[in-house]
Amino acid sequence: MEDAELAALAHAGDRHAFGQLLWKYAGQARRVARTILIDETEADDAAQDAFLAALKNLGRYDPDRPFGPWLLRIVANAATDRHRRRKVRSTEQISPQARSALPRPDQAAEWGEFRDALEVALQELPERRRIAVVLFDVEGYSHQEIADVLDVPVGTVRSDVFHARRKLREALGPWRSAEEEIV
Amino acid sequence: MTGSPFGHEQDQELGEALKALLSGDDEVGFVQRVLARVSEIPNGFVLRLTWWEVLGAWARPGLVAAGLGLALGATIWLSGFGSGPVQTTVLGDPLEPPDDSVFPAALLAQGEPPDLNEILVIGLDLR
Repeated sequence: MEDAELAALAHAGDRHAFGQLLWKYAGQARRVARTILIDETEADDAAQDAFLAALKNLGRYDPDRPFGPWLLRIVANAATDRHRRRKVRSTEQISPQARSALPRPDQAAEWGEFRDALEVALQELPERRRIAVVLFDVEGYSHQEIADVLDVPVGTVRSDVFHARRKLREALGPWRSAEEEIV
Repeated sequence: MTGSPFGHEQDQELGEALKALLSGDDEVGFVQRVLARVSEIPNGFVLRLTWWEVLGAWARPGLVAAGLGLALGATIWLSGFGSGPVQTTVLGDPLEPPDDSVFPAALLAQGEPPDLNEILVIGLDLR
């Protein structure tokens, strides 16, 4: 069944239809929320808020447009709102020193280390670039769909994806070099 | 992560790494949690919201349509019932020969193009 059809049924009170949409988009919603909030628990809370908000606002969904970007826009808004409301402790911010404390690339490139480096690099990106690169490279949305999610021009999305990729690759370059040396 | 940052296609390697980093562990638990919250919302809440939304959505176009209908009805009543016999339409029927040879509908029905002076006479109302 198409998303628009499920959304119409869910809007009419069909909880099973809403459940199907929830199963389909739970992963994406949680990843987008986590892209913004970093903390997994908070991200899940934001994603949950977003699903409930989406359910209550299904009447405003335009069935002629794809459901995913509409939902993810609500998710991004919920996560950003939560992020702004919470008092950011200084210890939560990633300092440049934290990055240099990561294991050197000449040490074994374990997945855990790579994952840490990726997480730090991602956190160092501006929020909008983080969302743009995740929606493009992870979730496979088009530039236009991401523009709809972020409410910015398509050119801005292209630029955000470009800069985010370049930054992530720079940060992960040592790991790549290490892998190439091993090969 | 071997693709160019300029690339317009997904970077599969970077995408998979980010996906592994950002994906939560217990998706089933998350879905069940959200569904439990949804079940706390009374069913009527959604239906009641729908009812109001439908009314709200129809209120403005409904009023406009009613106004247009009233205006149209008044116009028909005033022009039709208020002025006696039914008037001939301005252009008339192009298939019926009109009384006046320079009537616009007659010009359209003619096999040959009309004379420019005839059109100017009609247009400038010089008859």
